[in-house]
Amino acid sequence: MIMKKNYKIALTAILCALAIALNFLESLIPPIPFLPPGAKPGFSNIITMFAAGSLGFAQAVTVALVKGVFAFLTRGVTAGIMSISGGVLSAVAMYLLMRYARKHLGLIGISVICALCHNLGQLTAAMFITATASISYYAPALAVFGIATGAVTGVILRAVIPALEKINKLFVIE
Amino acid sequence: MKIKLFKKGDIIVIAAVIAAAILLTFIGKSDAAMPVAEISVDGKTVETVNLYSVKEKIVITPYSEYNIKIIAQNGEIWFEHSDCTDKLCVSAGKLSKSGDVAVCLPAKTVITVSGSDVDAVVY
Amino acid sequence: MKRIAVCLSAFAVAALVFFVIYDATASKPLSNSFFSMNTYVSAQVEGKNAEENLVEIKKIIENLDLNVLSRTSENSVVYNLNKNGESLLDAETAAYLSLLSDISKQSGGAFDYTLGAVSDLWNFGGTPSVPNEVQLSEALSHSGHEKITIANGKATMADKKAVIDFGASGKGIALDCVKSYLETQKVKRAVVSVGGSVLLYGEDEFTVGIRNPKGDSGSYVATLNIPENCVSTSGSYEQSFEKDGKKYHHILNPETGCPVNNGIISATVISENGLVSDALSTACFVLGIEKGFALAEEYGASVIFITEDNLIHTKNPEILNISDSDYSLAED
Repeated sequence: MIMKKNYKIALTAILCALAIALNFLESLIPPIPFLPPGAKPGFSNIITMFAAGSLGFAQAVTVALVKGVFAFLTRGVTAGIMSISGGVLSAVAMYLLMRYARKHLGLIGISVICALCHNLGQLTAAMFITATASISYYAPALAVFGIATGAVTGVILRAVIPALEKINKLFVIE
Repeated sequence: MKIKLFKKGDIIVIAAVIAAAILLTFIGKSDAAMPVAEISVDGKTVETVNLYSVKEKIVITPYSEYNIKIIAQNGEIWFEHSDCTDKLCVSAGKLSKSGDVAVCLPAKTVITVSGSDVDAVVY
Repeated sequence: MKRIAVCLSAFAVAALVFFVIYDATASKPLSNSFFSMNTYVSAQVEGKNAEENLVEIKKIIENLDLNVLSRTSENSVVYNLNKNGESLLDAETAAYLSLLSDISKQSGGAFDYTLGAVSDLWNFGGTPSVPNEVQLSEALSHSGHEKITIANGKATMADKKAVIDFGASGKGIALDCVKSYLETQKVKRAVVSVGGSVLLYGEDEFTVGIRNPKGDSGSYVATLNIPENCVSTSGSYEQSFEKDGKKYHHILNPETGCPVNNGIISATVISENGLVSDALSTACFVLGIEKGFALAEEYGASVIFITEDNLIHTKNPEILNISDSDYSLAED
């Protein structure tokens, strides 16, 4: 599949829009009991994963950054920092895993690790913002939550790949 | 994009994460008998409340960029009100046992409940 | 592949449910605190009916004060003994009084619960003052455990001017009452502090701090790792006042009627019995280190002395963990 630069940029923009839309939908979910308030399934990760898998490293990070800027504009500085730190870390992990670990890991395994990286990035950012280490108390609950959401994202990704690839094809010039 | 949904390695990843999470839970949550709540703003402890001896309502308004009202009563402590945008701190609910945490990120305010090292002090 | 994925998701959900349930069922100790017996009482209970237990503990302590220990509540045993020279006793109170008399005897009078006339002169709880020698020797002549006789469910005072005072043993008695109640209940673990005398009840070890005699009320110099027990401390820091540049504390030597001055600043006694731990902490403080160790041994109790020179004396260093570097274990 050969794509011209312009098409790649356009596709990245569409993916960014999708990620923002999913991110917004998620923000409507009420807090989940027994988890730190703010814990979300992370469905916008689906888009980042797809970007990392079919476009490349720069595109995946771009999607994560744009998502973070959106959070910054709509929900303030702290939300932006949290979103970027989690998003970028998981995009990096995703790219590396897609590239080097696909022999050993499936979509589920990769999305679980990415969900964990997302949480790790956010927890670390929260620890820096508040200068309090105790936030790490949330880690075990978040890890288990990450497995559940990671597995779900992996399955969803599998299901929507054909649709996403259709978008992709629109831009492909044979 | 050719990648399988599931491979053997996934099981190892998931098993390892669950094991680590369970381990962390048992290590991290000490069942210390006398919970003490610490309120910190920007990393500095501004107030410590002995939850085991709190009965009457105590209202704490730590100084930060936002108006925050924290209440401790009957061995529990919680964010009653905050001016911040997401109000996640208020939805964190009431904290009472060692290991409980509530965070207001915009205000950099954290309530942490930890156990006192001793069950009691004789005097 | 799909089947495995479904299994795995199910597993993840199951793990999540496990965590939620684990979190919800982790038994949370409940606590309650209140004022009774002229002191601060805090109780913490972990068990099935913790809430009910806490209510009952408060009732037990308040009733004990009202019916037995209080010097001001009419109809209390102590009120009757002091006013009318006699009082009817229920079986438990009779047992407490007998044990108190026994400790008085064994300690050679170093513990004396009939010293009320002398402590009234000092009035540590109110506006304290230094009594003169004439007043003291008059008051001392109306004290001594032999002034009270316990027989046939009745206590009689041989000396109408003698005054019973449970200041040095009432808290321990309260702990014993609470303990015998807890034994009838399904309680996993409980910690009850009556004015600094502590009941540790339940499985596993407890960690108890010994208050820093020279520091704040919350600070401690050492911790004890002990199983179910009662622990009491008598310290010269508790109630004291200064007059003409001299400091007077509330632990009185029954021989002289004056504050004990033997270099000890706190004595902590560990015993299965609350009354013993409370009464012996005072007796050991008065007796001094050597005699104090001997007396504690008689009752199967352990003592930890802290002296003016920041040394900690004990025969059981294995349960002690010194956390304040200003203090060290005495080598004897």
